[in-house]
Amino acid sequence: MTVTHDNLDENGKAFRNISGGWPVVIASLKSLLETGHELIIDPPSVTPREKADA
Amino acid sequence: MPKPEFIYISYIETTPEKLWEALTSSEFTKLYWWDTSVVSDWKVGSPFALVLNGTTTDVGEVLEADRPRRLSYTFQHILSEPASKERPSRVTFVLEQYGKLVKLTLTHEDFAEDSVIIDGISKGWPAIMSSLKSSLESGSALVIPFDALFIAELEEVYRA
Repeated sequence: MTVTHDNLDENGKAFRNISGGWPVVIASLKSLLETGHELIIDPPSVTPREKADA
Repeated sequence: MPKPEFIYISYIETTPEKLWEALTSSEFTKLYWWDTSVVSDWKVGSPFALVLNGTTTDVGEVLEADRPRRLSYTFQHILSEPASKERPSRVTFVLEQYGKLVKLTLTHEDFAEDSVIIDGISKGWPAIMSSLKSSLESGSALVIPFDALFIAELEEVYRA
C-alpha cells in the first residue's frame, strides 16, 4: 500500500501534523488486518512536540 | 535543496527490549529480512555487516548502541560497483515506548551527493520494517517478493 499526501506547504503546521499522524493510522490499520485488533495509541503522546511549541 | 534522507516511522505492539533484539540478533533478522543476518557485537566502533547466504552485502561501523533506546551505524553497500565507491551513509533507529507500543523511527541519512543507493534504500526499508512489525505482532514474518520493490539492481544480486 502506497499512500501519497501531497500539495502540502512544507513549512506548515499541517505538513508536520500529517507526518506524525499517517504513521499511526497506517501502523494501526496493518495490525488490525493482520492480527484482528487495532493499536491503542493515546493521541497526545504521538505529538509531544506540539505541546512544547504551544 | 534539502539533503536527501529516508525516514520511516512505525508503531509496533511489543517491548523496546524485544524490538532491540529483533534489530540486532542475526537469527531474528533472518526471519524478516530476506534471510539476511546482521552481524556485529554492537559495541561502539565495532564493525557492522549484513550477510546473505554467506555473502556480505553491506558494511559499516557501530556509532551508537544505547540498548534498548538508540542504535546507529554507518552503512555502505558493497556488492555493486558504483555503490561501493560511495562514502558510507548513516542509519539510526530510535525506540520509544508508549504503553503497550513502541514507536520506531528509522532514519537513513547523510548520503553521498547523487547517491545511487538512496532509491533502493527507500524501497527496501518499508518492506523490511513492515515484515519486522508482522513478525513481532503476529509471530510470522512477511515474504515480500522482490517484484514488489522495483529495484532491478538488487533483484539480480539477490536472485543469483
